[in-house]
Amino acid sequence: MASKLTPLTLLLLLLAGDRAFSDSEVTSHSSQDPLVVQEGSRDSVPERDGSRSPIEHTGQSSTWPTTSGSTKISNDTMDQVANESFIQHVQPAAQLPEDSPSQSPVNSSSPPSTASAPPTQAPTEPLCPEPLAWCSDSDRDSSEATLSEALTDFSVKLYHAFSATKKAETNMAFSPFSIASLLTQVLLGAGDSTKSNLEDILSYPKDFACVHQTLKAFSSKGVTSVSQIFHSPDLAIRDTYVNASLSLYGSSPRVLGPDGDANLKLINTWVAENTNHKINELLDSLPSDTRLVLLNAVYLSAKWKKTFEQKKMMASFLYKNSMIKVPMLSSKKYPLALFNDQTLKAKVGQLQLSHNLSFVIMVPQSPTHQLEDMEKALNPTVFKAILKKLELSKFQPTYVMMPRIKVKSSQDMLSIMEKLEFFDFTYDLNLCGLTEDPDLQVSSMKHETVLELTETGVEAAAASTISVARNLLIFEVQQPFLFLLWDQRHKFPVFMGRVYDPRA
Amino acid sequence: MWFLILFLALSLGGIDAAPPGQSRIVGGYKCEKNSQPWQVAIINEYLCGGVLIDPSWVITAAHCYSNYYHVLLGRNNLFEDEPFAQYRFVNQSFPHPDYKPFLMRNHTRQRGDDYSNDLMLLHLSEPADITDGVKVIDLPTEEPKVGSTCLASGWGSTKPLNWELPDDLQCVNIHLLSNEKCIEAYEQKVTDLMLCAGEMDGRKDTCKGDSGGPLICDGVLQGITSWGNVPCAEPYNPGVYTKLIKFTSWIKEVMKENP
Repeated sequence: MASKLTPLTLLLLLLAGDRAFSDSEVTSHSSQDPLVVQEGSRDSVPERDGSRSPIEHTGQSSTWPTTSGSTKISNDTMDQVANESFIQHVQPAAQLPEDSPSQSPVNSSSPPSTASAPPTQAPTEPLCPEPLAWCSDSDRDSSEATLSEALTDFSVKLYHAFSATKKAETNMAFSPFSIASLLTQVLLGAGDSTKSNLEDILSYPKDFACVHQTLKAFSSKGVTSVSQIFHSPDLAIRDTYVNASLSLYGSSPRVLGPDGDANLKLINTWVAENTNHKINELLDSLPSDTRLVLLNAVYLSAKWKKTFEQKKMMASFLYKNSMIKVPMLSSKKYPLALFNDQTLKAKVGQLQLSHNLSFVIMVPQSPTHQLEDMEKALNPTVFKAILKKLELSKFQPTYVMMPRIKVKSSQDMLSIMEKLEFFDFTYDLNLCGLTEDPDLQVSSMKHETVLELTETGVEAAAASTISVARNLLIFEVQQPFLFLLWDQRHKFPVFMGRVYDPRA
Repeated sequence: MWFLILFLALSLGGIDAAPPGQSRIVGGYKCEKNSQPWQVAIINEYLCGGVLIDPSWVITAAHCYSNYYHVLLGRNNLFEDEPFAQYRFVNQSFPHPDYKPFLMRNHTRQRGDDYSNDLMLLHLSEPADITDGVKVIDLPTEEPKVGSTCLASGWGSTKPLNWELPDDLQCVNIHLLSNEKCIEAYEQKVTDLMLCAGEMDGRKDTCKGDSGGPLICDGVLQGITSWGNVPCAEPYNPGVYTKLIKFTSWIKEVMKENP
């Protein structure tokens, strides 16, 4: 019987071998799990595992009963066949990973995983450039026009942000140039989205070459502006930033001490000393967890070019629908450039200050037209058109009567920045060029402005040619108005604001 | 210069002693309230006067032209609200087509400059309400007579050179003179479209800010304040006014065609 079975057994083994090969991929995948299972099970309950594996093979053997003859044979040799096929299954599984093409996909998958490591590290490097300090002559020339345009755009954005923050019908004043200077110092150390966001609100082109040098050139002796970054002692400032800041701005971030009250005194003393004591108490408190403080203070030191009449004069001014008496600047024949703008429905007057500065007033044309109507119509295009027209306007002797200018404004800038849709100072601040510390936020940012113009001028009013026509050029400001101080040489606003109550 | 100042002080103080507290169109007096109900003030970048000749129409000087106008009617005090005060905008202005605007806006005076046709009509965006404080005055139908007494008014300067603006409307009585007097006084052209009025000894005149205001001779509106010497009220330099009767046809045509 044994001799009879041998040839049949060989044939069956060949058939089984063919099937095994055809299923090799499937079995190779599943074989690993059974191996693990079997190994574990052998340790714990070998016999039960032995009984389970025949069940699996029985499932496979069910494909065989296609003929009655084979059925009989399989009944006789079931155990042997099962055992042998099991052994064969194990061996191909062990061999196939080494020989079969399926190994190459496994190999190809590993290079991507190793390649992914460098990208995860690489992006941090190019997004944190060294502070950009180099400035070629050709870049310098084009940067002046670009910065003038950017500062003018930024001014209108700031005006609306300040107006939205201030209470209705209140005075306000700010220095677009001064605020831009502080933000540009911050930009020097900014990386990634913080850098692009700052460039966006400042209306700067990407990687604005020579911006720091040009800002310095734009400084006027008629305006005193100071900016400073203070930081907590645990915040290490990069040497590269310190050096760049010193060479570009003449100052570098200053470290605060551990004592909050001493820090407050340090800051206020610094501000007072740097503003000739025009501003003495910039901050009244500091957060306990202060990490970064950004400060900016500015005051006007220029005077009128021509002096106004020295006599004290009071006149009516429209405030909250009633007339109040306010001190006035007046002059019978003051050199004034004057025209009407029909977009803003405003009278626009420009008076000369010293140091190539001028004072521009935009006052609604009639008592029925309100300042807030003017504000709504104010946009960068209208603003630039008016300033362009002022450049072309001639100064003529004009009867001028307008309130004295005295505006003091202290503003938390963090809320202003949020109005400008810049949120980096409180979330996801990236100042990688300034410090390696990733846990960073601006605790406080303050802008203080003092603007005062009395009757005093640099020169006495000179005689000038007067028309024979018996009309009289007249500029009387008797209702709330918008104002700006304009740098006539570099063509940008140094101050901007509004006056509702000249007595304030 | 000090001599001129002294002379002015003497002439003002000595010759035309005004009651205390009153100020003047140069050499004038404070108008009696509502005695000039057709007088309007026109404010844009200029201070000018004007005359109400119809509820919807004001006549003024062409050189008071602007791209917007505020017209104050029924006023005595220019800055304080009063019972008869009215306020109007202008929806259309009609400077005389033959007026040459560049001449009067230039400061440099040139020999031979011609300021003729210095006249402009303003159509009010809303008609004025006719009241005791706001009335119209008729256009002239007869030639004015040389030597007649004329009343000029306005809120213009009460000082000849160092402009001083009064709060209250000022009146001044001057005489209509022959145009020869102004032709002799000025290098600029004095034409038959103009009137010459003032005093040969100075002292009384219209001045800066009075442009466009009325010159009413023997009760008839004959002239519109136009131009004159700087300083105002100089001897031998009377003021020059637009002669209204030369323009009545144009005025009526404009009013008729633009109701």
